[in-house]
Amino acid sequence: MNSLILKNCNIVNFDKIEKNKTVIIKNGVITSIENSSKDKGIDLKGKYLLPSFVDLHSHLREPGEEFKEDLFTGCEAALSGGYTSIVIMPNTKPPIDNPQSVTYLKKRELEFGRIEIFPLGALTKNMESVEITEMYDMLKAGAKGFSDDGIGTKNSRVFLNALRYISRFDSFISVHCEDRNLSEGGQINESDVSIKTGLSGIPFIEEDITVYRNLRIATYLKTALHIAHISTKDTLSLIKDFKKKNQKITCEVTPHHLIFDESVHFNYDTNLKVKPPLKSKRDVDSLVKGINDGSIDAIATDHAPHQIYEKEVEFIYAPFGIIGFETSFPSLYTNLVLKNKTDIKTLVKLLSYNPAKILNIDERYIKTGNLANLVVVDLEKEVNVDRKFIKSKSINTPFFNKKLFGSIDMTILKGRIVFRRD
Amino acid sequence: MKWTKKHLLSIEELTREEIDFIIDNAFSFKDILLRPIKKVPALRGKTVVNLFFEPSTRTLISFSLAEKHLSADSVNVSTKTSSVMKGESLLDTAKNIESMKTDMVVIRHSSPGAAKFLSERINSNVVNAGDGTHEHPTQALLDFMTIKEIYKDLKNLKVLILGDILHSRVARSLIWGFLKYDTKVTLCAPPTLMPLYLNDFDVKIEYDIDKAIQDKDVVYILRMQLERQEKGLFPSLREYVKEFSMTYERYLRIKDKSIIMHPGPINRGVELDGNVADSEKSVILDQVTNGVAVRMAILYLLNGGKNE
Repeated sequence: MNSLILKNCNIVNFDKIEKNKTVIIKNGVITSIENSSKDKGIDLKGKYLLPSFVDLHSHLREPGEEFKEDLFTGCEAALSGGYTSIVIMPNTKPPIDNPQSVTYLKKRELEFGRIEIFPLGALTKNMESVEITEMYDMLKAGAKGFSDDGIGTKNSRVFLNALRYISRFDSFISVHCEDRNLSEGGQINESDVSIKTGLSGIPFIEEDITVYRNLRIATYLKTALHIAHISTKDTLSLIKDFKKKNQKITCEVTPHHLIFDESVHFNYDTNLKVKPPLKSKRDVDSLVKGINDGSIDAIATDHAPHQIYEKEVEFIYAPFGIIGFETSFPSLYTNLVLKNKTDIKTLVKLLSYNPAKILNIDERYIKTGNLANLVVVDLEKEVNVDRKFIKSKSINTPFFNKKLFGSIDMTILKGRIVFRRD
Repeated sequence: MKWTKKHLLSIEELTREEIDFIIDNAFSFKDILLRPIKKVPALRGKTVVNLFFEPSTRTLISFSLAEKHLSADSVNVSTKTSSVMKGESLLDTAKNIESMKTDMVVIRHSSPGAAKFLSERINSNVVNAGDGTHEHPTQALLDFMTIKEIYKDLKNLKVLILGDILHSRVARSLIWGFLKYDTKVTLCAPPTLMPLYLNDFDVKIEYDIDKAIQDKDVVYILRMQLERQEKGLFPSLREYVKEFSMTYERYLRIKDKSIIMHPGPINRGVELDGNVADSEKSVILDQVTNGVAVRMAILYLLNGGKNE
């Protein structure tokens, strides 16, 4: 019988913190939680035990762009950031728009063997927003849901048909909301910052315009819908309104949209060039409020690796996107918790408990009888975000060479230690 | 005052004193320009690379002449002759050029922030000769010099900037500078070519050109890029000319002492009438002359302000 004992843990669940507990795990399951005594076991004195994180949004670039990331490096990066379960987006090259591609990813998951991968298939063939994909077959092959992430399904009729077609199954539909006519050619949010930097602006309304259409369609069909990486106050208030009519609507925000506002662009740092673009301080404040008041359901990384030579170029030539697995928890802890903008229970709720619920997977709650999907965090330890710290192939993060509090020391999947920081 | 900046990247980052200082120096260099022998040894033994990733005639010639008058050795690299077309990155191009032991790089590029990007990664002094729609500091400096030649002081002057403000790096540099001088700035353009966010700038917006030109001491006309029509930003040249061009008829209605300026190259019959360009109030060619003097002053100051 495989067993693991963790002693002197401070257990953080989304609703409470319990100090000095011993967690006993047998065959991957938490069999008891007791007050700590001097017994044997891994001593986690001063450290915190959290349910492991679940990412609703990441890009592992395989197949097609393995020079940026491959499935194995992406998974190592995720584990080192405390993630044991990750949703991977289908906008690879070529896109995951057929059952065979899903089967391939599930095979790679088995080869890696230390993480749960939930691949999404494309909603439309080649993500061209013309014909819907073989979604039933993709579900059977192991897809968790569907998305035309990175572009969005431009054609409203096609999007409606896709949602309707898949509505007989419970699957996770994530939508990227961008009005390409408004965003084309744009570099950052249109504002006084775009005027001063000369970087062409994207009017922020492009997001809520598209969010509205998508929410309207899902509400019309009474289907579930998950809005990916929201970035504005207006989008959030729209989602709040629609949630009253359709309880199956959920949304996510990225760590970077909670931490940075558009004023960072005066440095022309391409590691802050993202889609959707960073918004005003007012938007950031409302998103932070949204994670605290429950109107935002999840924090997702949108881990998007790009090689240094792709990013180390003139701003207008740099691709959009930054990596996020490794820095997600430490950056949120350092920039939000330590600045009293939120608390660690809320982070657990949005990084673990809620996303697991949205995906309808094993509950992320540390209690007897639940699977031992856990992460050990040292909140007082500072990590230096350097090449060694980053497990991803790419280092495109605004936190590169910066120090952050909140070290992920250990990641546990079903009772098995799948990552341990040296 | 003593010059301390290593690079010239924008007007925004300059103080009013620094702008004045550059222009004072430029007036001295203009005296040299007017001599039969125009050469001084200020940059003797120094190597300057003019790295132009966007087509330019006037700015490139102006910098080249300024460099030659200061006795620098200079080479011109433009997109057509460099390896940029073969896929080499700006950073690699710059590092390679610097490995050939250059001292200064003058860069024009279509990406905002390109000059800053370079200045953070190479050792040479960097001069921004226009970075996308961000800034064109040397243009604004030569414009301020030209205005000073006529009005002595910029304070309280009434200036109109007319044309495609949204996409103009010249307009941005001018606005930053004018506001440092407490010049009264009015902007006129079709709303589609006017930035939506100007709250941080103390400028007046006037969409009616006939109102906008009244009482102005300086009418600064921007070049109209014809590709804007294709992007749906204005319907036709015909309507643009009717509503926003400095026609000869409008020229007759501007103040007697007013001056007409333009950064070049001009589109005769588009943003201004050919007769206006050639009129007595036009200082467009004085701007060009002052451009060489201002660029001499900048290269001289960035090199430490010493002769040899």
